[in-house]
Amino acid sequence: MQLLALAFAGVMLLPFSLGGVFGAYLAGGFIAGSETEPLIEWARMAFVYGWIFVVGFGGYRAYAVALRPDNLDGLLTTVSHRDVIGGLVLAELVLWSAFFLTVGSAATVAFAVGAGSLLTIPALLLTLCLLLATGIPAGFILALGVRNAGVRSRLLSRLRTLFLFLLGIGYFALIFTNAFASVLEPIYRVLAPTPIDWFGDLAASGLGIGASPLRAIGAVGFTGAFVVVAIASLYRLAAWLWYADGVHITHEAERSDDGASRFQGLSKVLSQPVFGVVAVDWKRARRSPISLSFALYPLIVLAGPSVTAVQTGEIGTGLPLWILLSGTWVSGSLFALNVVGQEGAALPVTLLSEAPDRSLVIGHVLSGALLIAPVTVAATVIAGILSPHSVPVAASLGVSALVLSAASGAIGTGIGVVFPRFEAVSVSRSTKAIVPSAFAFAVYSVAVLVVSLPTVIAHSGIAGHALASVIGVNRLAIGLSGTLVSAVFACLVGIVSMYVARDRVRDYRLG
Amino acid sequence: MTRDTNAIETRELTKRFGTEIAVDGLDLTVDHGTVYGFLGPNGAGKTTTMRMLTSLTRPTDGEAWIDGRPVSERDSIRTSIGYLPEEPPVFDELTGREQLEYFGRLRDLPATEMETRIEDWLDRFDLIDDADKRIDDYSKGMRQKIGLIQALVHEPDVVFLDEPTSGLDPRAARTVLDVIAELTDHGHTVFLSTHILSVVEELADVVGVLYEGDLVTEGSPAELTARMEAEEGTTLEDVFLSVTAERGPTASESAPGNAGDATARRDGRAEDDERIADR
Repeated sequence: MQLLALAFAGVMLLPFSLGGVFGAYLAGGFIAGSETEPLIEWARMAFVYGWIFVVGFGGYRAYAVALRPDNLDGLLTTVSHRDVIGGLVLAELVLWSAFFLTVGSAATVAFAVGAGSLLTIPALLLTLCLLLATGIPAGFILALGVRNAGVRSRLLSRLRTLFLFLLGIGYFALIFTNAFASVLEPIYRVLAPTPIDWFGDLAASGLGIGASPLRAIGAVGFTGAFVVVAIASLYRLAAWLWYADGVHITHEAERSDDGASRFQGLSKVLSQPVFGVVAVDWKRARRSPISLSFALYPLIVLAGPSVTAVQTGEIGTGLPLWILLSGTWVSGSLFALNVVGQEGAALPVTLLSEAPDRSLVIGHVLSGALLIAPVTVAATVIAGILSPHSVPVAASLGVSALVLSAASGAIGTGIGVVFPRFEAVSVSRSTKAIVPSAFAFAVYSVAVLVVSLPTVIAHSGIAGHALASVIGVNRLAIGLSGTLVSAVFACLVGIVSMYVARDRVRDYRLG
Repeated sequence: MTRDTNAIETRELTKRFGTEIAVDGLDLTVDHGTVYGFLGPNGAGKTTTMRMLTSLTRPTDGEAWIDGRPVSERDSIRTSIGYLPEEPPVFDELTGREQLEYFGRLRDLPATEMETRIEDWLDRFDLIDDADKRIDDYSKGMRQKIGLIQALVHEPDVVFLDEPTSGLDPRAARTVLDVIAELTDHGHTVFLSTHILSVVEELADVVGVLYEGDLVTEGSPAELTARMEAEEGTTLEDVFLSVTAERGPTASESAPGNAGDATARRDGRAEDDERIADR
């Protein structure tokens, strides 16, 4: 399987690699016939950015993969931490070199041929080697620094999930706003006055574009010194990480009485078992939000329209519908899409409780609806009012949002019970959770789309307007009709689904 | 249909998984207010039996009753039984107290009564100071205690305990044994599955040994050791090793009742037992 994956990666990378080689040939030809003065600056800048790339990706891989080898305890009780970190860094170097030196060699030769200077080949190859020899250890040092901070800082340990979440949001924001350059620019400005800038001179040796021989030699000397310092740093940081007596976070939760008082109003309205399910759902979600990270899936479809709205400063007629659909989907999937499976080890005992069919099914539906429906309704109405929709049509959208996000949990329960998942899956590097099955997600998504379709059509700019023209009624009437049909659909499907869920839970057997 | 004679009764209780027989025609009766020690090697079918008796698994054949009520009708036995599964039934994100309140609410216990009972049990199991800590900070033994409390908090007539002393330190294990003894003193029935033979020897009124789905021997600890016809000092462990070896594939290689040979054969069968893995 790994060979297959490597072969696939090779095939995928081949066009880019060939393109790079051809580009190198063209660049060589361009340099051969150009003025010399600005080109050396370009070369220096290219290699500084190259170094940032290697450190960035090397650091990411070190943090996420390389510094978490299988059976680390076994390794550390067999060989010294120096051998372990040395082996891990060398393994990464070999992995990166396998690609970069292969493609790099071809690109170097193509560049040298294009530039008509074969002396460039050893200079460029040597520079690539030095880039990797300094960049990869630098990435490891960064990753070890971050992990040491995480292990030793109580604040970072507590807020680790939040930090990672914000980092992820920031990353996607950079992608959607094409703002990577604004982040890299300051880093470049910091590194430009350092010996990292000398790699460009070494690479350009023999090209006759004004490379400084002194800086070229300095690049080699700097690499030697950097490697020595890096080795010492890696040994020390690895020892700190692996032999650390890190902070131990005990999760002191609030007294149950306090929690109960927070939900007091709810406990008076709901039956004791249903209230128990709702309270536990919310507590678990608050304390381990990453377990529900699947609820962020709609952000993928919501991101595009939202970014467009921010960039243009205008909210189109589509955005309120995207919000409505996303909120509806999240409301039903959050707690109700795996009613049986998410009980985990508690399932046998839950099944033997007083009326698990009613308490589990109703409780999980309410958990999602009470939490998400108000937000969905508010966001949909606000976006609707700010959009070209009239206020009455925005109100009609609000009613749709209320009914659909309240009913989606009911729709999800039956689907989740028919296609449950009992095994925990990794939702982050260190967290496993029982999430709904892929099949349940798929069927549920289709069901939500189908019941929402009348609302979507009736409130969409083009289809809604066309319908109003054809039938000869105003947009509000069309919108209300869509809301009504969706509400009837959602209620019917929801009721049937809840009945299926209730029957299955009542008679559920473990094997 | 109700039968009012025994706390637990089974007739020809059988469970098959495909062609494999997990429990084969089990007949047993357990009197009210007694402890039934259920022994057997890994994969013998103990957990499957407990699941059938608690209505969590449907038998392939046969019938079972709790307090005279058929287990096929789960609603009729819900309030009568408490169950501690082998894996403690807890959510890591909750505190111990919240976990117990969750099960108490699912059992629809009156709020004040539930709180009083939970507080008493937490105190009894020395968990008061840790009750408001999250379960993912608990040791295995503490989780086990929470699991045990949830099985008892609604005061069921019949309690099924699957390895109740697993992971407990000696003091906590002693508390569990005392609790079990108290339960039977108050007329509750305990169906106890464990590998710790000394526990059964101390507590059980009747011991049944399950091997490859068959109940190979049953009786009081004293009766079982007497049946060995061995020298003085024969223990329940000798009985267990003997009866679980007699029916093994290498049984013909040695005389029945030879505990030393049984140990060797037991080791040889361990792999097969694990494969069946407590169905």
